[in-house]
Amino acid sequence: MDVDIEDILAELNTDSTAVDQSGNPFSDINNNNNASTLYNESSSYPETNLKTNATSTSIPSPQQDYNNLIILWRNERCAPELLPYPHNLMTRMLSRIQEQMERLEIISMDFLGQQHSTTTTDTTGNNPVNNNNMLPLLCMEAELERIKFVIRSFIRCRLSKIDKFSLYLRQINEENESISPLQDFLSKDEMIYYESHSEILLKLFNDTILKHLPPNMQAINDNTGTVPMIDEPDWNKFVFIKVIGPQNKIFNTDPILIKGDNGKWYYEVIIPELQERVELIIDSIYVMRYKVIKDLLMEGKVTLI
Amino acid sequence: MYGDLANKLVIEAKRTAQLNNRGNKTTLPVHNDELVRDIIKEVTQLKRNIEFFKEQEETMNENGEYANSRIMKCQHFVNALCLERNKRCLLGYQKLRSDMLDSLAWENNGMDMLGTVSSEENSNLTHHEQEYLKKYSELLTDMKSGELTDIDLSGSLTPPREIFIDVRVLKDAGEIQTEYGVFNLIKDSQFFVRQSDVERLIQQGFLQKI
Amino acid sequence: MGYYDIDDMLTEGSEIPCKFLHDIPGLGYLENNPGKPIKANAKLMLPYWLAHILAVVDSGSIDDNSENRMDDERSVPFIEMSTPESFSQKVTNAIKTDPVSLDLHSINPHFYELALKWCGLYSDKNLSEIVSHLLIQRAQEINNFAFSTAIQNKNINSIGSITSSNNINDNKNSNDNSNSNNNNNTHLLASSSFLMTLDELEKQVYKKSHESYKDSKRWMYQNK
Repeated sequence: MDVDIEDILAELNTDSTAVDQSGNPFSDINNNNNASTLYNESSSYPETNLKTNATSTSIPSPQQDYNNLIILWRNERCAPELLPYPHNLMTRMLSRIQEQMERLEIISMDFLGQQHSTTTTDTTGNNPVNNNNMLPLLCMEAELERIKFVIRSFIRCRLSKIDKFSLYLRQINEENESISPLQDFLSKDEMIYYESHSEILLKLFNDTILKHLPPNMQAINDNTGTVPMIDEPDWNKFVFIKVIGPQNKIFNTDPILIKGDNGKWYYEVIIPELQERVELIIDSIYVMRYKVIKDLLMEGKVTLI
Repeated sequence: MYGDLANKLVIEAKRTAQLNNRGNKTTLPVHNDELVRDIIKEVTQLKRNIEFFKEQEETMNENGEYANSRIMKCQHFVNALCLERNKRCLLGYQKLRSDMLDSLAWENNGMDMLGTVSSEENSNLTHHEQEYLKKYSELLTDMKSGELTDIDLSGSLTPPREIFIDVRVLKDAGEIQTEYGVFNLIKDSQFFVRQSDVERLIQQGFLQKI
Repeated sequence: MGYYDIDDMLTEGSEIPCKFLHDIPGLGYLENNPGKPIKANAKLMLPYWLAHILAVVDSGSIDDNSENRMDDERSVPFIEMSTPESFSQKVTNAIKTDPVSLDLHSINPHFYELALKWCGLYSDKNLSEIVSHLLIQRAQEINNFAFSTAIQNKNINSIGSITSSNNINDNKNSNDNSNSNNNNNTHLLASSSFLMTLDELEKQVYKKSHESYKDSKRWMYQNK
């Protein structure tokens, strides 16, 4: 069976998340999904909720999802705290990955079939025509590996933060039971990981150390001693940010975006220690403490780099 | 002086951390059973002291003697502080080791964890630590086989550069099955294989990337 | 700092000279006199984790009746901490004269961390200015060493071995390595001796900056 290179290229164009040649994916203002921010997907922060357009039925394109994934990945790696889990985006990405893997397997099996049929008649080692045909397949595989890597790095980063802040997570979960349950922050698997890991770790500590202590000191989350036992994320960590602006690129609709005298749009933040007003101009890069820009980050108006 | 033993333990923890930072592979040194046991003994002593002070204060109160002055309570207070310090140092040491156990589990997952680790490093882990390691490895295996199977959570954390790479076999390892066929791993032979397939083997030291 | 942070625990183990302000029964073991009380004005070295609480907590001793304690001025703590040797006049003078050649490690391996805690406790502006000045000066030197060790050798593999031999955790005679370049060796000697004088915080700074220079170099030179 002859596999036509045209077919492969056609496949490449339709379902891959290859780099979009047409430019900035955010420039599509008509896309209904601009109402949903990166984190709004999971709608875990009612305070910062830009209401998802109820009538929006279109799903973000693979291109947009990919771009958002990269931004989320960078944010997660740079942020000192655990950011909300993008449930919907991940579900879509994972199912696309699975489809792609199946597709690639079919294609490569076709190739192997073709190879076997040619090697019986052709004794030369590498059939050059054959290798050229393989190129799109290799590209698709390479791209798939890259995406898998990004997701892997993303999840591993989150898992390590879950480990680091497990007591803190439990504390905010207990305090804010009704407002933002932990389920929204973490994926299903992460919840299982978080609970199991806390359990086995606590058991280890109990058996080796805590059971020997007097009853009033046996807690693992006791904040009343000389050193508080619950480690909070470092809100004062310095991060580099890039100011993106509102997702829909329509500056007028953003209530906190201000137009300056020189015509540039900016957000205003105040640095508490210095009592200093800072203008965060769109498309500029700044470095400051995480807590100053945390809200803007949650709304997707700045990203960490 | 109370807390001196705990200091020793913390210094050892620091040394363990430094030693570990050097190599690529996590190596857990022997658990200092003796020191920990001694600190626990000290803790028990402190506990007894505190109970004694409590009783003393109670009897003084009953007898109408004023026992509430803080000066009288100071030794009780100091004992409590020593207890806290010991608790913190013990937990710090144990946490450091459990973090290293976690890294071990992530590095080795896919390989027979218990087989290699418990035989070589049998003496280095306490019984509780071994149990923890076993349970954590099981947790990881479960995590990886959920909906995230495709992405191989314990795979490489450096970005992929080539799909196919040349590898050299470092040790004899029998036959390996990949989707491209079966490879016979004989020392010093070379193969041109897909990176994702052999990543695990490279991690475990069977293959070397060229 | 983190409850489980080993460096924090070590910092809190630093000893501080203290003076007791009251007679306190039962604490004789602190001065190796078990069973006896400690007399007022007794001076001894106590670890920071103990001292800083006792120096802050009110002993309520003006009136033995603690209910009468009203305003803070009358609160008298159990002990009084005096400036540890690490922040003594001698050291601050040495810092002012030559920050870079100061052997910080021998003064206190956790100098900066202790300084942070001390300044936090006593709002000592003077000390904090001195220490931040010290850090800035030494940080430039650290940066120089981190950068120059990284570019000494274009051979990426040897950078690894230089790193491991310069690794602060190593012993002092680790200067000879696979690289036979004389220049390198003298430079390594100089850097090793400087690195030996770094305290724990500076070591972390050095390690991170060195690794990041190394990584950028590696990334620039990979020509695949």
